[in-house]
Amino acid sequence: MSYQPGNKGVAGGISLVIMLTFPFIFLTTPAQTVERGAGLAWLIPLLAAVPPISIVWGLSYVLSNFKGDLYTVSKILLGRVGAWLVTLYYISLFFLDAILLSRQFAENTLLTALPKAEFSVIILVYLGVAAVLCYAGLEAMVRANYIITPFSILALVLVLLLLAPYYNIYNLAPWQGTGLEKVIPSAFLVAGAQAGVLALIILAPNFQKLSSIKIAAVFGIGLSSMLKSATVLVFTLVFGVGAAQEKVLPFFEMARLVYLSRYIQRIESLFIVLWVIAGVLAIAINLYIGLYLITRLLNLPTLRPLIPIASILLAQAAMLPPDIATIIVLDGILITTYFNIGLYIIPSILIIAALLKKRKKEAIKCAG
Amino acid sequence: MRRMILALLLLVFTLLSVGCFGSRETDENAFVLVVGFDKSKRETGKLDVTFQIAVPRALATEGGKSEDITILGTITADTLAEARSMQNSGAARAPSWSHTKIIIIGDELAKQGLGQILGPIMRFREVRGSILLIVVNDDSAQNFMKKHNPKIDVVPTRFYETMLLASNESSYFPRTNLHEFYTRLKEGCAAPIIALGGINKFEDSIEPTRRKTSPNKVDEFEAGNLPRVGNAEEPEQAGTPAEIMGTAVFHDDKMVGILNSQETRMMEILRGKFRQGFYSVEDPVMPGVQVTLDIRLGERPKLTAELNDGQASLGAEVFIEAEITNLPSGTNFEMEEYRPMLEEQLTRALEKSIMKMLDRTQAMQTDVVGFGYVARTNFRTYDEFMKLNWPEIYSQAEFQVKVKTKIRRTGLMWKTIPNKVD
Amino acid sequence: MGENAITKICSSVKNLLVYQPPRLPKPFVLNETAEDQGQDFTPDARRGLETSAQEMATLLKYAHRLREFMEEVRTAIQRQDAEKIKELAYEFKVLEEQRKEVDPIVLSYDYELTPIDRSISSRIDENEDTLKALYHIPLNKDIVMRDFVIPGKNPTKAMIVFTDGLIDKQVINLSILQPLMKFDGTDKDAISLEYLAYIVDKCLPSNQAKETTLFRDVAIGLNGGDTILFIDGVPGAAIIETKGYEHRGPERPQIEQSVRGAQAAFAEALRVNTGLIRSMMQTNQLVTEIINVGERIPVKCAIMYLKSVANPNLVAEVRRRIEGISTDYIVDLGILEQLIEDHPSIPFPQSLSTERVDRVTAHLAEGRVAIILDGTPFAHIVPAGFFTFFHSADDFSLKTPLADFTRILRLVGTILSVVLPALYLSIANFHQEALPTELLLAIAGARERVPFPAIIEILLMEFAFELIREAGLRIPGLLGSTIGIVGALILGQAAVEANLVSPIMVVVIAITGLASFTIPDYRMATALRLLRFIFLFSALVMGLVGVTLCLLLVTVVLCSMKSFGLPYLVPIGPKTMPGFDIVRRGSVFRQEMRPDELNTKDQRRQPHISRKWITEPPVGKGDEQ
Repeated sequence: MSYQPGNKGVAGGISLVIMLTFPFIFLTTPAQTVERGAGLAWLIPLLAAVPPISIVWGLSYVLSNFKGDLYTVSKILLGRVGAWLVTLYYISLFFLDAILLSRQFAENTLLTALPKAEFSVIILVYLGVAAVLCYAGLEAMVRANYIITPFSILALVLVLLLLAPYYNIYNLAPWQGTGLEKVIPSAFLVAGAQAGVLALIILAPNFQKLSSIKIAAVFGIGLSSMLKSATVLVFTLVFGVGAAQEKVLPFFEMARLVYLSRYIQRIESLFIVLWVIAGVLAIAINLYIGLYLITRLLNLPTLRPLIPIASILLAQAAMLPPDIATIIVLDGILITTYFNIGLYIIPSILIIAALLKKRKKEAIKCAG
Repeated sequence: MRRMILALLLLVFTLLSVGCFGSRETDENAFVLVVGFDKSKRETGKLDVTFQIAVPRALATEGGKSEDITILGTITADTLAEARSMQNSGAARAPSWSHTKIIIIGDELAKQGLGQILGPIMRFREVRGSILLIVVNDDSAQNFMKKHNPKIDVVPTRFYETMLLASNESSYFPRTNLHEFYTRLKEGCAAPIIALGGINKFEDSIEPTRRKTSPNKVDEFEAGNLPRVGNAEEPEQAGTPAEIMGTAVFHDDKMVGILNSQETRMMEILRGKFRQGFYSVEDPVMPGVQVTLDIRLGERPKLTAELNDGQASLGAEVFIEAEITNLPSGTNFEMEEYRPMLEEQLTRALEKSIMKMLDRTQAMQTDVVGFGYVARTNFRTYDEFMKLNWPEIYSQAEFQVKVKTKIRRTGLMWKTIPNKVD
Repeated sequence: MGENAITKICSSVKNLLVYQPPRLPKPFVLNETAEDQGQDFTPDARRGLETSAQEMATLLKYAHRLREFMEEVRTAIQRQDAEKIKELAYEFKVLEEQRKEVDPIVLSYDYELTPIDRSISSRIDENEDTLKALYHIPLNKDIVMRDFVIPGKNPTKAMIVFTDGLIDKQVINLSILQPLMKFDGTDKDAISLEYLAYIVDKCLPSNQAKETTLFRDVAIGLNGGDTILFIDGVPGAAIIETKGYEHRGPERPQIEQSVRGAQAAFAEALRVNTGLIRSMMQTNQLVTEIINVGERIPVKCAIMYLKSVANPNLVAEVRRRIEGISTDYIVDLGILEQLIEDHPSIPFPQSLSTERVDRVTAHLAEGRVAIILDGTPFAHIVPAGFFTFFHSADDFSLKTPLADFTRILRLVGTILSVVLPALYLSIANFHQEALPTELLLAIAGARERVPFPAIIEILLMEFAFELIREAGLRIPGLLGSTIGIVGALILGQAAVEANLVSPIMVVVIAITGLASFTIPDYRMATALRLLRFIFLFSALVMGLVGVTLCLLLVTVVLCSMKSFGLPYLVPIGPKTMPGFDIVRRGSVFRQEMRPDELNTKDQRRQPHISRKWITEPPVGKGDEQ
């Protein structure tokens, strides 16, 4: 099998997770979060970090008992049919993620960077570049990822800090936002957006040891949630709850506001670099993992011939929704329902099955 | 290999056949620097939109006259978007709003309500929150832009930008931009404000808005009646007839009143945006003579808001540090014996002015300072606060203002020796 | 009738009036050669006749010699010349030995083989004939054959063969001809290899001498500049090293100049280069392997490495790749590099090409391998990562803050040279809001009079710049700087005055050009020049989005490259232990470990405290603290 076998370190894993969960910041997510939580919206990403980390820890416990990656483990635990279902589900999850991201990023581009552009060409170009990235292989993508992530984080933090003159601390009051009883459950609901963290489990054999998966999950999700939380916090501070809910592109609006002096203003074009890179990398990684699962499922020797077909199909699918409002609403619905299945239900099934099997094994040992 | 070449060619053709994605050369753009909105005089229900467009060629040649730098044009249309498309027929180039620095709003339009123009402004990609806003006092934006002709600055946007950037030199007008206006409008717990501009008619007799009242020693003015001397026929000799002073106060999106220079200052003090300014009070030892001090905020003012059954009690604590600038009476206020007198005089003057400003805003039901924000901390959830009608509560509220003054510095002299007259 | 005035007049009138076409020489046309016309490939029948003709000639010669011998014997016996009889007895022995070779079966076998495959015969005229067939003598005037006689008890005929132009005449005269001609003789008969061995061992004061029995070795030796010694009666030859061809000595480096640092550069001869490296690294750990590359014309290629440090897998891989090439003739080390590198289609260089000796030794000490080819004054170092190309030779000898600053400056210059025109184009055309208003209006004002769109301006200026650069390479040295000044200044100035380009464009292109000269490596600079145009076109089409996508693609392509097992973007690609010498430069005494990614045998190159004198008290009283 021609996947590059494992010598990725913790750093690669961290950047992988960050790139998979991070780009939602550049889309409408902060506005939707403020809608849910008003003044307390910044707590939602932080709380939403807890489920994925615990799930990954649980699954790595499963992996430590049964060697292999997600497909083989589910084959052992749930039988062939179960494994097929699980893998098919995850393929659809990652492809759906890629579709949503590419559509939303293309809309984003049209809105901000190239207003007169032709929409279908932009989607094609994004998916084309993602396809070329997949072609270069996982190792190249992870390394490029690893190089680019610090710069992206730095740029984002820079924008957040440059808005300091506009902070109005009272925008966060009333402190409890829409109320704790609403905020905490919605945090767990929204955690589905971070279903991408399961990529660590899927690509498990590529990592040096299991503890690196755990560390990568903690640091990756932790860093990503802190960034998301900081973004939402600054967004609320600057715009206030009312105006914040209306915006389609919170990050763009924030970057537009930066006005330090006569010369440091209107710099939002320079941040185009940031979110284009984040978006394309996220699409590429999602595409790669989806294809990787397909090849594992069907036992194909290599993944490269599938790339052009998959990217064209995804491009067509991305152009399906009729307008941008539909896509925003659809995004919200999908994250809270479909993705949650992948994040909560299926891993729990796997963990419980692993526990049962282990007990059975021990029972056999004791009995014999 | 052939397939790859074919795919590559197809990709290149696709990209190129779509056109340049909206790339426009610098000489295909007409950069709109200033936009003015008025209620149309020609037709009711329509807008008069005035554009000021830059002429780069005149800037490039040395010794270009300042009249040629920009061109001014007005279009009457239903909405802003329509005006913009119509503008394309008049000017040879495509309009670009990416360098618009300021939006000027006419008097009548502000009183009628800004909702008509706010819509496209917030959705346009080229209009951003950091655009400055000015409302013209008693005049139309078109007039303002026509008469305004800066002599010092090459490009008119420099004038506006530096002027509004320098607003905290004296704090006679606030620096307002679209972002602040819009967020205040949406939040509902503070009143939107816009700086006030006007054209000086250079008449011979000057009538300030209000004469000075003791213990203050400053007349109060608004934009348009600043006591500047100039020739009415040739206004440009005195610089430019345009001036900015005061604030326009909005309730929802309609303008309901004007704060003059002194009231604006007090508002800025309470908002914490006041940096420094000269302030004159009556000399406590020798009434009739004034003492001028340079005051600045020692620390951010503390605002408190308490709500009891719909009755609000709002408090403010201000800490002022002063520096003596002008002491004609010669009394040694710098010294320990006399200083508390001056400080107390200043405190009284400031408290009086602040109370006057707050009373005026209460009458207009507009919370310009932002007490509503502080009041929000009393509530648990956002929805509870949203149920309140804050302007009403504000108009019934009680105020408690405490000002503490400390004279820190005295300039270059630390005591005055009386003139030797023999 | 002879010529007289009337005939002359007639002929001149005729020449005047009658048109005669000009007499041009017949043109020479390079016709296609008929198929299957290789050398030495005659049809079988003729071949058979040729070989039998050769056999006949050999037999005839042998017969003649015998007849001469018998004549001499007869006269000697008639005259009763005792000494002569002894000589003749000796010669009889020689002839008897040679008779074995004249056996017809042996002869026919021998003549089936091409000359180069034959083994040396013991008859000297036979060898001469073979050599003549091999080297196309007397057509080829380069090969010189000199016959002489080795004196002694039994004087024997001998012959030396050498290639004129490749040898050192002094060495031949003094160390071959002179000792041989003064040779006293030995008991051994000149009929065996032992005789040859004896001569080689005892008489020839040459530093390299070897015996052989194959013409193949003789040919290689002759081609290389050795002298071959044939002795009548010995079925072998001695190859004596007498290389002395003209070659350039080490000179100052032409391309990689440095302010501080050794100024020795490689020359074309292989032995000079290896000698230079050895003189700087005087250790027994340094190993030089020599491989011949090229089938038709073999060229020597040397691999040098430090055996105790370099990774043995790396060395084996390099050797495997070089030995695995089969091609006609390798002119330049660049061709060799393209044949053995990992990604020949990606324009970025994957091995460091340098002409400075000190750089090579520094990299060898880190555990890399150097490849040198005979005839190319450069050495290639493998494996090389992306950041190695941004080190200049000066970096080693300067202090940390200085070297750091220059390195960062170089990296910034690199990024600027690639991205600046694209950035300018995308901001001026797509994202005008990013510029301050006055600047934008100034640019717009300056560009009002220019009739071209921005992209054409940029391309025009770039084209002019590239022309100047290429022309600068070919101009003879005296005119070089003048034309540079003429081209750059006057062309730029005149173009602005004629409103062909705007002044801002000139500034942008000038900064770009200057920034591109900060890149120390020529091939990397060329690769980046290409990249600049790709960025420019993507900026033209899609603005900053296009530039970003291009940047992403370039990064990913770079990340996917490996140079001889070393990931290209190390140390930031895969993260390795910081070696303090790659992107920025750390202080000399902190560079304790060798670069992690090379996986050398011995990682540590300095102990933790390399400056032992810090921990010890100074000489003398020291400072009062």
